[in-house]
Amino acid sequence: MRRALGLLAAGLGSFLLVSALVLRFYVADQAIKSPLNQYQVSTYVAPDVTYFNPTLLRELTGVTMRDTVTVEGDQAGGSAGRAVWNQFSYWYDETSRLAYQQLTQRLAFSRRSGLLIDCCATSVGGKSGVRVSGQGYAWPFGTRHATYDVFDTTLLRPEPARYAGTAVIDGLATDKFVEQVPATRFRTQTLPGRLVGLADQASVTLGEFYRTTTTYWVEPVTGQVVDRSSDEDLSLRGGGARVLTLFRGDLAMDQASVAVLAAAAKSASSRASLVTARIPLPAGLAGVILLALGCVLALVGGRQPEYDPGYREAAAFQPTGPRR
Amino acid sequence: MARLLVAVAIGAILAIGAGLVASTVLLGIANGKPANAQLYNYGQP
Repeated sequence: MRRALGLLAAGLGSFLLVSALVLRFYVADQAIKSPLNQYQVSTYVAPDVTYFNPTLLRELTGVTMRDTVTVEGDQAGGSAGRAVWNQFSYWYDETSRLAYQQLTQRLAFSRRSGLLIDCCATSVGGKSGVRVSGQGYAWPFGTRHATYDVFDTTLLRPEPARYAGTAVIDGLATDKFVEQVPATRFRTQTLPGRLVGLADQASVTLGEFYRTTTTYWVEPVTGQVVDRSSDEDLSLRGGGARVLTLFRGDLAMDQASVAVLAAAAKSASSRASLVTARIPLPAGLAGVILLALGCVLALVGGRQPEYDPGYREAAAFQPTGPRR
Repeated sequence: MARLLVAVAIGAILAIGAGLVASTVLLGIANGKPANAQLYNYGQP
């Protein structure tokens, strides 16, 4: 009986111990990564925006701008290690009830590190063949308190985002990272002189400048961005002076979008800790104890105790054959 | 001793099988089609 119990305990212990190791070192690596099937609609709102409306061909000030961003995973374009997400962004001037712009974006990235990968028909703002690097949609699983390069989709190059402390967003502990880009000339634009008050010139070429302070709130276990705000200034300058404001405003994600992202991050984080710690640690410990106990019971429990007088008599008995 | 080894091996094999099933289930959650996809009315308040 003791031996049977020992075998059962050893088998169960082996099951628990191996399950713990498989969960921690195989299942976790296989399953904890950014999804291929992402679908998320987020809304950003900026009050008191100044921008150049391309339909009216003039600057508008004091408007409320709403940017609705839809991100959808391209399941067929992804693989075990790579995700491809498409993004459509629609900017709408709520004050003037005018569409401002629509932007598309397609980025591929590592499902574990979040680092962008040059492949899969990447495009930013409708431009294809853009060389991408740094973080894109996601940050690494196990985000550290460090500086990360984030791909800036206006400058089309990575910019550093520095760790700036922690913050609680919708009940979720997050790490805050800030990307600061000083006014930077990144391209030139040629446009009719009359648009910028130079009616005597048929066309003028001006430098396009971009300045931003973008803040990311990242859930550190999964690397998911749960909130983002962006104070942006995009302008045309000539001779060092601002000639035209293309966009100036402070875009912040609305509360409903933050709540959805925070709930998704909480769920993913809980799933991750389940397979990396909450199941493997107790299961592994219980497995070791049961395995050891089972081995002892199975090996020792099978022997007859030496003090058993019957055992001694049996051991001492030597049958004698027929004498010749 | 042999029975003990068999018991341990059975436990280990069952654990590996369970791990593969768990991995498949979790991957299915992340690799399926975008589940919440819907038409979105841009420009509507």
